[in-house]
Amino acid sequence: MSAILSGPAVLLVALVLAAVGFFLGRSRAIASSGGDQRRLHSLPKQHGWHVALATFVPAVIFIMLWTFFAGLASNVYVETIIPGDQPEVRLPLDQRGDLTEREIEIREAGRRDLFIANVKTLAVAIRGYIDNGNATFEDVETWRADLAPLQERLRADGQVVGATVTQGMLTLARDLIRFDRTMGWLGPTIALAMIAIGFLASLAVISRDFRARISVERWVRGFLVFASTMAILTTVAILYALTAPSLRFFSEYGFFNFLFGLEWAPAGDVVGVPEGPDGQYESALGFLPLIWGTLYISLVALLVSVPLGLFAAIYLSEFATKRVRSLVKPALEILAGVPTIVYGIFALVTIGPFLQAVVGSTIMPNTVSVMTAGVVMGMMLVPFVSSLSDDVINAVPQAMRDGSLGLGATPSETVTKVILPAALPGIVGAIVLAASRAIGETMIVVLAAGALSNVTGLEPNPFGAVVTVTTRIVAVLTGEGSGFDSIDVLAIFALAFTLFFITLGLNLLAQRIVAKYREQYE
Amino acid sequence: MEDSNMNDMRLTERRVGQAEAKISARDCQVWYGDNHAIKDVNVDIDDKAVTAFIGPSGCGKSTFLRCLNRMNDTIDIARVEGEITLDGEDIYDRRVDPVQLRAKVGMVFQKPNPFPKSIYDNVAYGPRIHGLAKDKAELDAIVENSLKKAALWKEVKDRLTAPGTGLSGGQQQRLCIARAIATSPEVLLMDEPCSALDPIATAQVEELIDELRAGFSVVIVTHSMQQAARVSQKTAFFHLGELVEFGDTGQIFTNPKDPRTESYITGRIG
Ligand SMILES: Nc1ncnc2c1ncn2[C@@H]1O[C@H](COP(=O)(O)OP(=O)(O)O)[C@@H](O)[C@H]1O
Ligand SMILES: [Mg+2]
Repeated sequence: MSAILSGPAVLLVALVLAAVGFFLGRSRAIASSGGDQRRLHSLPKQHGWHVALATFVPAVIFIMLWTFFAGLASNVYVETIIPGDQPEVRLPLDQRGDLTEREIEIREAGRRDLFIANVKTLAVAIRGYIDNGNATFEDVETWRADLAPLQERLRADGQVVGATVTQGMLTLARDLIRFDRTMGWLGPTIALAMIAIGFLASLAVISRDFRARISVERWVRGFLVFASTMAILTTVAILYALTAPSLRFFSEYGFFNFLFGLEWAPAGDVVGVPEGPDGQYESALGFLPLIWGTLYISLVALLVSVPLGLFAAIYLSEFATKRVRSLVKPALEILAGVPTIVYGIFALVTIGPFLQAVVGSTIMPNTVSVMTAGVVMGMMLVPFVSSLSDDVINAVPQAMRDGSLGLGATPSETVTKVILPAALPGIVGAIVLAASRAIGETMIVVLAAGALSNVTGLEPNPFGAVVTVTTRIVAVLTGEGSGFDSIDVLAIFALAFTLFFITLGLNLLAQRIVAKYREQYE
Repeated sequence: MEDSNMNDMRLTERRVGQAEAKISARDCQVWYGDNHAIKDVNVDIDDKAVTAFIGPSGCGKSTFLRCLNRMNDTIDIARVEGEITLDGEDIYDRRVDPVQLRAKVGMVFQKPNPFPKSIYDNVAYGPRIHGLAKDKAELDAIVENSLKKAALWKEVKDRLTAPGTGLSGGQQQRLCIARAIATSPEVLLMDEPCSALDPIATAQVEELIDELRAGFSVVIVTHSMQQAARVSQKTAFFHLGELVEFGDTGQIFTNPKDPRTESYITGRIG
């Protein structure tokens, strides 16, 4: 019974009934025409589609939205069911010492977050335990935290249990599981009802004069609108996820301390509890060293990729014969499809040691450096730049080339004096897009720029290791010992937030430039 | 019958125009891959006169026109055979540089194609490439002169730095003519120069073509027979890649020798 009440099962039911509905609708329409199809307002096929879509679309949209909002609701639910005097959240008396009200408040807020996270983890663990067939939900209702070695039992089953399980945690986890279970069958039940209603109602309205054609149009448009809304919602969701922690970080650490800080040295401070002298955080979380490293590497990458990519594009579109073009273009496109981790390995084992051998280990103490990452990232971007530039160069009308050649200009004069100036805005757009990719690129810099190095400031040496925005995000999130109550982790949200806006800004800029360029020839 | 016609025509041509023939084509053939687009074309184009190429579309007018300044070289699959001479010299000779040839044989295209540069830079483009001006003053003079010859000077003299693409269609086409004149060519090839223009702009460009005759040998492709009748002294009728008839414009329009010419002129081949 419960197997049918799940998202995939509902989808399957919807599909099957939609298919059945298609044929039923069609034959009903034919029947209603009294044997003469020409008397129908719409084609029998359209009546079929009308039933199929009315059965399928609303239920599918509903179940997708339900899945999304059920997750949200579950999060909100946990927050609301924790009593204000939950003992695990209170700061123990012996730890209060001479802390002020405000400090206690901050610490308890941190403990509360941690406690919620623990409850959720425990709920996931118990659910996994039940799913593996080790217990029923009724068994779990009788569990007590202090009786059986609960943790060991769950762990033995391969479940992740973070903190020591307390009775309060267990009770709340059970509540949460109960809530999720309710949501779990409620959604699919509603969806199944919608399928049934859609199926029956749409079959019922079929008649000789029913305008199925228009109804189908409406369903299709509705579905497409939904699909594009989902794409936009993703962006909104990302922003939503990043904004609150980022703002919290800015208010804790200071926006300008972050933006203009010259040092990046996370020390694992607890949020709201600056432990250094004068109430300062011991963690130094300045943005400048990271953006410095990021821009430095991006600059090198652009210096490599822009000339190479542009020249390749010019060669391919203006000079190469058809045969060469048909060989080189696919080759470049394959290069563009190589995963960046492969470039990263190439940088680490080939380019890094090579550069070190060339410049010597006094200038270049490690094989990881700005140059290593920048050069390889540049290679990665060559096909990107060349294919974008190729597009803009090809968009320059043939009439421009004819005009120039007809005046007795050579092909290279034509390129430098007419085609490049005409294509310049588009090429600039391509470069901005490449810059945006370079700034967001992660894998290559993690491997080749010194992800694990202990650089904390602005490194001027192009052959030295640097820290970048993306590598620090990776380091903090995958590193040991930084709990989610750490200010360093909050800082990561701020980094992601800033990165989001930098690349968003660059992409908008590129779009505007390219749009302007298009206008020129329309 | 057709053969003797061709021979007659060639003989009369020789008699009338041998001394001043600017360009002569002998047994010219063009292939695009396997498509034989121009077959055995023989023609003599006079200096200081306007020659019109007419014929149904796809008959090879543009293709033949493009042979005259070797623009077909820029098309990979195009192959040209036969002899084409400019002032008695074979332009397809190995020693001839097509780039220099094109400075001597200028071209104006169907759609106005000013470069996205200022009006001044458009006109100065050719002279700069070919180093025709010693200094800025000389270049200014060339630009002014060319614009005057193209009957555009009065309209643009106060905005030479404005982009050429901002002009009206007719002005753009005259700008392209000025641009072509600026390299002091001896021959001007025009491929349907008015087909993208409105009637008023067309009239202006036609008037201009008539004036240009004084200084250049002009070849114009047109799909409008009225236009050919208005501006040209000689007319060549092409059909399916062949030159069917070539002669004085008056004669072609009033007394065509070939039945195909007559059909076309009276609107029966389209
Ligand atoms: N660039 C080209 N590549 C291949 N075939 C061409 C090309 N240009 C013209 N042709 C072919 O040559 C023939 C003559 O074309 P064209 O000279 O443009 O005729 P017209 O100018 O008289 O309309 C046509 O059959 C056309 O398809
Ligand atoms: Mg043509």
